[in-house]
Amino acid sequence: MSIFIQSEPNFYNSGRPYPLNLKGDIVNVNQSDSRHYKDISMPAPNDNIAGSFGDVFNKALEKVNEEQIHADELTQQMAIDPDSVDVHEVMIAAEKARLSITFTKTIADGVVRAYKELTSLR
Amino acid sequence: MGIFSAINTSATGLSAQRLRMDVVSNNIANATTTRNSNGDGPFRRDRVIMTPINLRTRWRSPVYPFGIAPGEGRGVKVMKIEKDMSPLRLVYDPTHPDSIKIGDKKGYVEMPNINIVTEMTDMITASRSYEANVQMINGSKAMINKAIEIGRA
Repeated sequence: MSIFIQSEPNFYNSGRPYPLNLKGDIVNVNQSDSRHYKDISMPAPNDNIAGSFGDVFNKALEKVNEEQIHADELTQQMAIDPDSVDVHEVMIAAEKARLSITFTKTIADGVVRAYKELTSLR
Repeated sequence: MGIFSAINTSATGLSAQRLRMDVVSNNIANATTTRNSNGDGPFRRDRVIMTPINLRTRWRSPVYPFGIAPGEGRGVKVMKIEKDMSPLRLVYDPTHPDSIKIGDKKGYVEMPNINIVTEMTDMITASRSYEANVQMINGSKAMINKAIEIGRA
């Protein structure tokens, strides 16, 4: 799409077009870095605000579950139609799922350990 | 930049090398093909042209437009598979149905410009690059595993 500024004839330009006749495409700046606007305090988006540890943990578990489901789907696809998927994609998905669940389990173990230490305060 | 970004980057390399392997095998399979699908000559060698992926282009300064920092990169992608237009190999075989019928090259058959030795070295390069990317993935995996060990007393 192009923009073309055609001026109305008035006192200043007597009907001639503007000296800067803008033609061309409108291009959006689609990549920007938030660090360029450090001084402006932007409100944080709502989905980053978590109510409690339980909410955070539930969200993390959902994401981990998605990884597992993705790995499962890829494995099944590998069994059904081996040409449609690369071997390394399946292996990488499985490894990502395993690492994610190990990470989440480590966090959960830490919380449980802290809870046990608190309950055995005597 | 996430914990899996190095793995994702290496995965693009793995896919690219897989495709290169496919192209090399196609070249070797067609090493003596004297008719291409258009019917206007022998098969010509394919080669893979790759280009980097840069998703996070950022500006070093908003007022200095030449200061674009490309970021850390997101891997490689295959731009296109290009035909190698180097000269063809001529083999004298007058009984061949595709031999040249007129001119001073009468009796010669145009064979594809494929050198099996070049293709074999390409194959070895592709498989070694694949191995290097797998090593890279294993390295990042070991790093993540070490990071998980921080939490274990």
